Amino acid sequence: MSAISLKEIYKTYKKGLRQKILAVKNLSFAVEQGEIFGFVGPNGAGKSTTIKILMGLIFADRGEARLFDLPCSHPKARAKVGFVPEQPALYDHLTGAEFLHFAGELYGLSKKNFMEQALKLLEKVGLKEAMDLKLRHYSKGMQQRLVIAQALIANPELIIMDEPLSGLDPIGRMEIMDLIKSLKEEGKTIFFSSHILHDVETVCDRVALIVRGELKFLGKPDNIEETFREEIQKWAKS
Amino acid sequence: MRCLIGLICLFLSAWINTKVEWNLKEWTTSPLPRPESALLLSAEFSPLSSDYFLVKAAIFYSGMAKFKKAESLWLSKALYLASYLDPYYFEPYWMAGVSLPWEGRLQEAKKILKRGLNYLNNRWEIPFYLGFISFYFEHDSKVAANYFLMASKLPNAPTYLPLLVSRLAVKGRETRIAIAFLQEQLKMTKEKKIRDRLKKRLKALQAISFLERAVERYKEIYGHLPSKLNSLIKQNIISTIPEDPYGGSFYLTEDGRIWSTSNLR
Amino acid sequence: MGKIISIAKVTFKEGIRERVFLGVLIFVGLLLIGSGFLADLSIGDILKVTQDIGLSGLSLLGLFVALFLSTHLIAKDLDKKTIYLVVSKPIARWQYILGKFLGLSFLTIFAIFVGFIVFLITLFYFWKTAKIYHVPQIAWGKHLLAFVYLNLKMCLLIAVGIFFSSFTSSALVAFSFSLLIYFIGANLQNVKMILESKVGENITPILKSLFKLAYWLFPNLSLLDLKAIAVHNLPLNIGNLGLSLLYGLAYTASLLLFASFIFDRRELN
Repeated sequence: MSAISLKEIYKTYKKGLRQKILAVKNLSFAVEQGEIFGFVGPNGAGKSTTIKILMGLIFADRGEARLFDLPCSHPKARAKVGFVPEQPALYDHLTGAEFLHFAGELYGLSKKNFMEQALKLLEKVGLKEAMDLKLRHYSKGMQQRLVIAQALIANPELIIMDEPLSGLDPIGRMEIMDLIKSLKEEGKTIFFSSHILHDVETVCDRVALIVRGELKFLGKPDNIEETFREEIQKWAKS
Repeated sequence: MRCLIGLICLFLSAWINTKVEWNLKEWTTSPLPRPESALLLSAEFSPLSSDYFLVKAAIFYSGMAKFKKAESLWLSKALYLASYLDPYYFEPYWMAGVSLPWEGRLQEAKKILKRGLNYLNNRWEIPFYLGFISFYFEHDSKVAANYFLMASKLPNAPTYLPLLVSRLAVKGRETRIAIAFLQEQLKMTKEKKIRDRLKKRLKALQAISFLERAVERYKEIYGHLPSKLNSLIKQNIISTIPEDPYGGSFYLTEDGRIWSTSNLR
Repeated sequence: MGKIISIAKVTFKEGIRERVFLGVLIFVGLLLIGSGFLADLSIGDILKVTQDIGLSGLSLLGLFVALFLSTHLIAKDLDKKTIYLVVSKPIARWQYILGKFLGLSFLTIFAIFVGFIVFLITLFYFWKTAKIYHVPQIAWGKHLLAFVYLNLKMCLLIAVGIFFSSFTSSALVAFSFSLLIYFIGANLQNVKMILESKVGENITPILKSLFKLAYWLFPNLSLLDLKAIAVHNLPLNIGNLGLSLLYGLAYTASLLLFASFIFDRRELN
């Protein structure tokens, strides 16, 4: 079964009382287990919308969205999924360890499973010293790393990341890329979005291009650049 | 520099505050809200509003020397308001019973006290006040007797109440009952100003009682009422006519009672 | 359900660590301690006034936490998107609602409990040192009962706050509506009494029918207000108390059910 499956997804936003914006139109594709899948497109193309539908934060008007063959609206669909949102906000009155503990509990991890796992993860992302510090004192980089840790706490099979590379310096980007590659080696599936073509070209097994809510390309990244330029020019002209 | 000016302004406003004339009368007799409005505005905090209006009424009552008609009306409204907002609170009923009848506000006092009967069925004072009003002011011994009987059955009622019922029929005893009533009130009051008012009234009634007994003795000796009070001095029954603490002068009424030109107000 | 408790714990911690919370707690503490002195100034039954001020202070404290803090914290969760990392986990939306409710309830109960202890100590002190003619008996047990029902009332109001927060995005709107519901609910019994009295004879029948509808719809908070019973030591009617308890629980449950229904369908953008 596919890790992610989208069939004829439509999503419209209502702006005020009259205006309607079509965010996603007839979107269909699947992400298979074990691959790194890139979701690329200009800003406002509908990438975040799609990801939010997958995570059950918003609901599609039409079509079917599934995670491991369970409907996205069902909580169980997210049991094996770790999520890294675009501009993550944390409960800053909690410490790093407390937040991680909270995340673990929400996945249903028992205390026994949790402690070891948590410490290993904190070390992996380099936050072990700061684990008893309140999150309001974390730097942006530290917060980003904690969000990744909380996504990995339950050893998920699928990791979904919304614009994980935006706003990072070159070292940060490299770290994320290395992380994605190492996660694939562990047999996990990674799905992430970006508006920079180069990011998805280098590391992804497959790529989807979305422009103004519609799927314009689906396949291996080697062939994407031409289509990408065409679509961007079309999009820029309008 | 700005701090200095700020401080000066602060002291200036504080000084002005002390100079502003504050009229006690104005504050206390400010318009009262309708009971229903006050209740709805206070919602669950109505007992606090009740306390507030009772304080206003009490300060007013202890501060004023003489009451004009409009002022006694304000007092009755304030006490009704206080009792309405917290009907289980005894103090407004007490104050109504002690103050209002003497200022001529019989109907208002009865209205408040009758309402109190519904809520506080274990305070002997409420039917007692009603009984006293009926007896002393309305001269209705029958109704009074019923109330005193009701009061005598309630907890902590004074033991003389049943005796009171039997003495009601005897004419000429009203003043002495009123004196006993006031002495009871004094026992229960701690506020100095209200005590002073009560003592003043007590003094007046004791003077009246003194004169009434003198008139009785005159009647026993001569077989008829004296034509005027001076006769009592002439006939050596008393040496002087006592002073009315309210500043009036005592006189003999047609049916042999003693009253004062001050009306005890 | 462990997940619900987790959310409750995090909510509780969040509320406790809000500085406003501490400020209000201190203010009410001072008010309670000062209540005896305030009462001394007033004329009347000093112990009665002390109890009035104390219990009103407790009510105010509860109102602040239940109405303001609840709408504020949920709106903050939605606004800052901290909710994303919670709802994107394998939990159902209703578990989030229930977790928030429990967390806020514990927060409120904790606050009122602290206030209640201060109240009892203050009252005991003034009771022992009162220089009045006839020192009345204080119904300590009934005060405890009033405290329990106060907590229930606050939980109901928290549910009101959560209900409004489930569909509005502005803390101010949710708070204002919750406050309005509180005010209506606190006065339902009073309006009923007024309509049944002499004054009520002149009210038009349309208004009376409207009121009957309101009486059914809005929460009758006076049922959970045992202040008069505690302060005036009135007799307890066990039947009524039991019904009031059931009423409070049922109304709270219905609000939470509606809130979870609405929140299930809410787009978290």
